[in-house]
Amino acid sequence: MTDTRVLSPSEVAEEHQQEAHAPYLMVWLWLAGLTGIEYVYAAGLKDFFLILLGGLLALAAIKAALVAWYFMHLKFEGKWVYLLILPALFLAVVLVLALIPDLAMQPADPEGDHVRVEPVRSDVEMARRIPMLATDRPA
Amino acid sequence: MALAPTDAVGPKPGSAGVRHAPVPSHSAPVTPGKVAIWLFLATEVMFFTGLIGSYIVLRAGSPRGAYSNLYPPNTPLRGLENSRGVVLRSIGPDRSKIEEVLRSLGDRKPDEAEQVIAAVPHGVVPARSAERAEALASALRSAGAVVEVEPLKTFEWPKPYDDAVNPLAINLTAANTFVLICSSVTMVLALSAIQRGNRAKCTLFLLATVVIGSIFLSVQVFEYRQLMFEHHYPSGISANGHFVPSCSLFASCFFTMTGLHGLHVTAGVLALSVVLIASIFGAFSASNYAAIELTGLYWHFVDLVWIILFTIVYLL
Amino acid sequence: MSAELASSGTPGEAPTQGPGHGPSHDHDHIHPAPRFFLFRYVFSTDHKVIAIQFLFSGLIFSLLGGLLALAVRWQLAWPWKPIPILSRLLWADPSAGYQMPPEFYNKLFTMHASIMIFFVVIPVLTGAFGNFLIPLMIGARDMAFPRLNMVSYWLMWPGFILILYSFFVEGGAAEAGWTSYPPLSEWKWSTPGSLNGQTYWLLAVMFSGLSSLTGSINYITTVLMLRAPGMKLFRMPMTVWGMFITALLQAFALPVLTSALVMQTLDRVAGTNFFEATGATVANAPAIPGGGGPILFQHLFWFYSHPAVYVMILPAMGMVSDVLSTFSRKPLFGYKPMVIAIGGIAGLGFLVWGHHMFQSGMNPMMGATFMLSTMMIALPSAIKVFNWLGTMWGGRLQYTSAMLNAIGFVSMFVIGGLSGIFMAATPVDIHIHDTYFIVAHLHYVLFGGSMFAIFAAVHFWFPKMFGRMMNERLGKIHFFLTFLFMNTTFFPMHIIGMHGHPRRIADPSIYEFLRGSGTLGMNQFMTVSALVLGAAQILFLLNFLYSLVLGRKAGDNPWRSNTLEWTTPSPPPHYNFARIPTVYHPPYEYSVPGVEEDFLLQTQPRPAKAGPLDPIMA
Ligand code: HEM
Ligand SMILES: [Cu+2]
Repeated sequence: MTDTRVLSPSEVAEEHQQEAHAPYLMVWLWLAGLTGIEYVYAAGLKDFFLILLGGLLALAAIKAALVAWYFMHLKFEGKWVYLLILPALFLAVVLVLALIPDLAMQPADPEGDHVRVEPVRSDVEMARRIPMLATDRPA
Repeated sequence: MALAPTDAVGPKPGSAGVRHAPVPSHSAPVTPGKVAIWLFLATEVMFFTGLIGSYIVLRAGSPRGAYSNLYPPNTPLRGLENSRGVVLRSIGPDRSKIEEVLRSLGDRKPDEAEQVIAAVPHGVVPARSAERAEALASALRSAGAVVEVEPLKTFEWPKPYDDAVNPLAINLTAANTFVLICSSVTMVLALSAIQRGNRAKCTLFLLATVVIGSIFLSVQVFEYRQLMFEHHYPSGISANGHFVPSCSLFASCFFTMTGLHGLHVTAGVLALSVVLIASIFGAFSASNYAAIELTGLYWHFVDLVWIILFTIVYLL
Repeated sequence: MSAELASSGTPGEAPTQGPGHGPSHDHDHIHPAPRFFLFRYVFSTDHKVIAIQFLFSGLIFSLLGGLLALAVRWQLAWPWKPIPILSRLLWADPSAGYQMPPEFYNKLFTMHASIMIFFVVIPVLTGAFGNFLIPLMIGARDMAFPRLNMVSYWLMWPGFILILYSFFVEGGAAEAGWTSYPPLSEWKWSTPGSLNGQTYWLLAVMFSGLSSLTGSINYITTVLMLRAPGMKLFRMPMTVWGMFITALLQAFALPVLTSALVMQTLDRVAGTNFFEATGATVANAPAIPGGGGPILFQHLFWFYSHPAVYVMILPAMGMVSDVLSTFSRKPLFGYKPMVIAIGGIAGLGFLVWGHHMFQSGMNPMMGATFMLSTMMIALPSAIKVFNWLGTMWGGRLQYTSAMLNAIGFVSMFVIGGLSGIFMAATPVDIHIHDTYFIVAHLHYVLFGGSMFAIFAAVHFWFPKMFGRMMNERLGKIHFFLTFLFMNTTFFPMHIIGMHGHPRRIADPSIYEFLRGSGTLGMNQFMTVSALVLGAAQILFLLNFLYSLVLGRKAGDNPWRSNTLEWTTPSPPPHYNFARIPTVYHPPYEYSVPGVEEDFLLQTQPRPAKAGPLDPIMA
């Protein structure tokens, strides 16, 4: 990566000439198709979160990879691009993983299905917090 | 590394035919512009990691009960477990009568009653017990409305396609996603055209990209307007009927991520417009198209981010 | 061929012939400098002019930052006693005895740290010296993107203006510390500075960040693409390595801070709730709906800001390495290990940020992980210290002001690094977190480290920048005063810190145990020292300004150093090199056997007699 030299523009063009016929329209059809599949998949399986999650993330990853590989010409680039992108992706993963224990793993709420707030001590306080609360507005 | 003095001498930059071993000859050439743009994209990866990563962990940590079909987000639900919601599907012929019932039996203030009606077919009036809900429902029915009574349902995060908690219009955005993908294709076709020396075609494809990109932006502006001002949503989405950044963590994440993506698209459209103008004046040729290639890389990246955002924000 | 060439270049004279380097040079146009003043000196794209712009704005802001610090010290030594002159100007309230309003103290330490970090140390190290030295040291005519370079300087200006303006908005400047933790920074009612000042602070820091970001992309590309023939990566001076790795740190870490600042700004102005805890309430105010996490901000902030402390030390380490080697007249001990150590510090530096959060309610499992990684980072730091010592060991030391400041750097960095290891241990940190011990640590690394390196670098490269020498006598007096009073100012902070003196507290005497004459006496001692320390900087300023106009004219290579910048005239012409030089060896060939002079410019081949270079150490 380091000792690379700038090539003259004409060489650049020459080099691209042969590979410029990448199947862009095919890729486009694939992307459109995958978007359609995502759409149907999401609508059909909306009640099964984990299946939804796995499937949709896989589909999105394929689409993203298609864009990067064909449209962004990763296919044609040297290894140096990965030297820039992979560290970023690695750090991205590290950051998110490190956030999980503090933010995604909430301390278990002993009383079950409740929002993390201090207990509401009175109806008056409740009404103050929820102005639109329905039929029990204090007079 | 004992060096013979000769091996220290690098090739003359720019001299033809000297290609260095580390770059296989089938690779595209490395230019400062490309190194810089990929670096920039790496920084953008980290920027969106900050946003998307926060979204992922905040969402994963969102407790059950943060959202419900009856009460605004983050309402403490303790003591409200037996609530029923009266869902107004249609108000029937006599609006004023419905309003009257909502005000008296439903205990709504006038503006709140209007809000419920505006949200029809999903106007929700929460009630703390089944009896009260039934009483209100039957009063509304006899006033000519179509109503249903629903039990309290809680959510960790607003579920897609559930009108009671999630305001996002997936059909519209799916179409918009397709639009953005199309603009990516026209972008790459513009590059391909100029690489073969076809300036006119390149200009046309650039124009198409700018236009399609602007369509994407317009749809997004339209969507924001609907969410924030025009449309009225039931209480499970927002206390005041409008979906604005402050009404829940979901709204915060949604607007921040899509908004910053939208800013990136805007920047892309502006950059592409400059490139387009340059192209119209014949600035590019088969041997000189770096600007198109670099703007294109940015544009595709923005498309890529949207592919991810569409999936994780709208569909999941 | 090598034998002839060894004698061909006389020191301080640009070599006229590069072998194998014919006149045809595609990208090698020499552009004349722009003629109009505005484009030549203000909106210049010349990296040297931009560097000097960064240097001057940094120095000006350091004056402001320094004054703020002195006001902090005044309050700690003589709580609530009016500051002479200043009090009457600022708080013309005789009924309160002209005393400083309590929230003003918060503004003082917040703005002192923010200005020093974001507007002085980072811009001076990377913006000034990075800009000036990278192209010159790798043999390039300019940065890869000169116009982007100009943009990166002018992006500082909105930051400068916003941060200064923030003092005058309603409620005054920000008060949440340079770390800007929510909820203090988010709830507008929490303190006057959070009313408006905080928003300006956020925007200012974002602009400074954008400037660094564009700069770093430019530096990385330049180092990767524009090196002169023969300038292999492992022939780059340590300064360039330091700048290069710093730029990588910034490129990968800064965007995360930017995202956090954006979210905090939105929390403040658009009502989002990323960093507000659900249902939190203060003083019977309505509960906050939401569900974000204040600790999320801390994570994102330190994910950048720990690497940022390395941004403030790696360029310094690089420059000090060059200065030490030059004035020891000896090769840098362990050049490659030094490079790898810098890389190691940077790589590990991404994985230690949690050591700032041991007391923030972070998951204990993570505390242990971060403790381990932090302890590990001491290893490459120690490698560097030993290599500097090894460089000086047995050298023919020349005690110039630059050298003295570099030695000051090494010794102070040892103290700062050691206190760092104390704090890295969670059990110890429970006791000393948020005390003056932390303040002592960070000033040993930032004043003792970064500032001494900046002094060293200014003395060392001043001749190249301005074509004149700085006054050595004044420089030495300045060094000794600074060294002495820096230690008397900051060392006692360790002691009162261990005694439990909290940081960021306007009046420690509210605590019984801090009321005694011991703590108070030490606080007063430190304040007096700080005042003298501040006064000593006037010498530096005078020396700088005097030398600028009246300094002795400098030759091309006054220090008889090896790197490429010394092959150019002082100051270098707009295009740097009349002919792009060719490089034959790493930059630390001092006292090479068989060479008449005790230095060997990188443009001159090593004589065969000198034998091969050590494959590991050189
Ligand atoms: C051997 C290397 C180092 C170690 C092990 C280390 C460790 C630490 C730890 C554990 C803390 C947090 C203490 C606390 O808040 O309880 C800290 C704070 C700090 N360190 Fe270091 N450090 C090292 C080097 C440096 C360097 C080189 C710099 C800057 C040039 C630096 C600047 C700072 C600053 C500014 C803070 C205070 C941040 C704040 O405002 O809270 N450190 N260090
Ligand atoms: Cu740290």
